[in-house]
Amino acid sequence: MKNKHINAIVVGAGAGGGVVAKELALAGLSVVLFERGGWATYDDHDDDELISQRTTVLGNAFGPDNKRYRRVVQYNDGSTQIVLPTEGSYSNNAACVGSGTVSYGAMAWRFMEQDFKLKTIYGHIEGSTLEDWPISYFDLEPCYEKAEWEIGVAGEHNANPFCAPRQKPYPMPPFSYNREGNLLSDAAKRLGLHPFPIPMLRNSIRYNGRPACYRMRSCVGFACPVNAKCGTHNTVIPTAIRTGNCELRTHCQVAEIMLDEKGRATGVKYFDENHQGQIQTADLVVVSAAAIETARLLLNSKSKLFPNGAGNNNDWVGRNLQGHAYTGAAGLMKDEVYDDVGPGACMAVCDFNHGNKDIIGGGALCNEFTAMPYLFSKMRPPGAKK
Amino acid sequence: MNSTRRDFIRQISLASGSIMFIPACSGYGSVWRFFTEAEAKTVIAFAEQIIPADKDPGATDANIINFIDKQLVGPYTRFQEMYRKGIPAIENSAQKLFQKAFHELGFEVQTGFMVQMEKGELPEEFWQETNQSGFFRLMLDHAMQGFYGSPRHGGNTNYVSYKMMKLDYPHVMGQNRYVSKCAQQPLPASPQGREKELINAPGQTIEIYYS
Ligand SMILES: Cc1cc2nc3c(=O)[nH]c(=O)nc-3n(C[C@H](O)[C@H](O)[C@H](O)COP(=O)(O)OP(=O)(O)OC[C@H]3O[C@@H](n4cnc5c(N)ncnc54)[C@H](O)[C@@H]3O)c2cc1C
Repeated sequence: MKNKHINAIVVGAGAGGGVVAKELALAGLSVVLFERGGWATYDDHDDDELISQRTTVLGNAFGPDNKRYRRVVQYNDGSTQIVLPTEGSYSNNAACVGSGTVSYGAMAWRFMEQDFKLKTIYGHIEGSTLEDWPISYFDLEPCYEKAEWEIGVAGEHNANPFCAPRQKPYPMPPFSYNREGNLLSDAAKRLGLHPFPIPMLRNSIRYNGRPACYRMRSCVGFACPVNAKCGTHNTVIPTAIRTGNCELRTHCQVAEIMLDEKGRATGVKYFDENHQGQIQTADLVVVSAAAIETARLLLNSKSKLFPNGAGNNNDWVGRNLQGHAYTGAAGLMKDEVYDDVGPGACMAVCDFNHGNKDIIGGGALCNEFTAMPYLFSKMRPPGAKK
Repeated sequence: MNSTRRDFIRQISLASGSIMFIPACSGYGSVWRFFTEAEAKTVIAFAEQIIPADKDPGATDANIINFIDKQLVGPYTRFQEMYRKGIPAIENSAQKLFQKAFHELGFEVQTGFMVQMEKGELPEEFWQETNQSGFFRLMLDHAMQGFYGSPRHGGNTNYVSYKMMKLDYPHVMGQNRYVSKCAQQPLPASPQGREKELINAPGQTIEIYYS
């Protein structure tokens, strides 16, 4: 059966795609939201550490599955290797309705003003392709605010002195610190730093018709058993569907964006849940399939005007991938600091974001999310016996 | 499996309050799914070295062998070859060095043997096809997964590792630690006034309360 022509296609029902689909559907456009995965719920894997987003040794709780989805990694020397989604070099985020927002740690950071003009501030950095953004913080500020209220963030207004100006407080009060957060906060203050509760995309009170968080240790890397974690799967995507204008097609992988003679998108070719090739045409195609898959989809969409993939006539598509630099330090404490109050991370300082001598950029320092037992077993104090 | 057998298994599973696993045939007349009886002895001794029982339970108590065996016919099928080649290499090395099977060696001797294995210092002649320190790391990792992972995967029997860490097991739900109005209300001591539903299953009665 041929699909009816629609106004807009959105590829990928993750963080970005969910929001776009909702905006388009509310504006009255007919939308099809494509997602290669399905709905992921807590009941599928509950708090099973070995099948979670932090340890995928026995499988991916949030997809993609090893059978249908594989990637080919190409190394610098040109050699290639097939990797499974459960293997590290796949660089998996997730593949389900809501994607990473189902299992994320749910810290709700805004960019700082400086983050938009890194090149102006730090100059050219050898070996990098650093550029300023063409927009500023103040262009995005209303969007941040809207997202914080629609999706739901718990935080303390203006508690972080380094935060860019905010018009409106957070919709929910902040979370209290756990034992280690209290310790670190006191220590940070003694050092003259400025600790504050991390703004979190979790309900600290009943909000949006969903209950408050009860602070499980298995939070980051897991779905929420009571739906207190706020993602696109339990906010904007249901809203989009409720308008009656948005159809969500799960287990459908988009394979190619179709382009006309003038180089404009006319629709997509995709494989449905039975792996049958299908075509969907639309006036508009939004590709929000995350950093890697978006680039891959564009590169796989060749046409007369774009022989090297859509938008790739300058060979920039898929380059300059920015990873998430996430590093940590651990220490042994004299007294017990663990109190099993999840998700662990609750306190941060932004004193080291910008404005520090000899540091380019910098970053926030937070206490870490609770490491589940198997992950924690990999940590040993220096010199300790195995 | 015919339906009478399945029913029977379901009944004894319920009666013993746990899920019983019927081993698939490993083809060697073994009780294990993948391992032969002899291979299992090596792996059990190896795992007990990684997590020895002391005042707390160890690898054998946690049934790590069952975890590894189960995964090797599931998500870890890709490691089958490594085990099938690595275990004889351990045994051949033990025979050459001590004229004994690995599991028959004294505890301290086994420890020394494994330190050598980790460093790649066991007789090279037996390790042409398998990297000994690589196999060491793989077994170490699998043992840790079996000890600390969810019991549903075959190890961590009765959450022994969680008990050791003094973590609640299974996970206590609904620890409403922040102050809310409803948390201040004392819970009724008895389930009085709640609707009660009884489910009779062979060998046990389950009571479910709805508040
Ligand atoms: C464990 C974990 C913790 C995290 N913690 C935080 C945090 O604390 N704070 C924070 O801000 N961020 C966090 N993140 C990151 C955050 O989840 C991601 O940055 C965000 O989801 C990216 O959004 P996106 O829209 O670019 O892509 P995604 O949200 O990944 O959405 C892309 C979607 O497109 C689908 N897709 C891809 N290709 C196709 C195709 N060809 N056809 C159909 N569908 C396709 C994918 O299946 C996916 O669902 C965390 C992520 C993880 C995994």
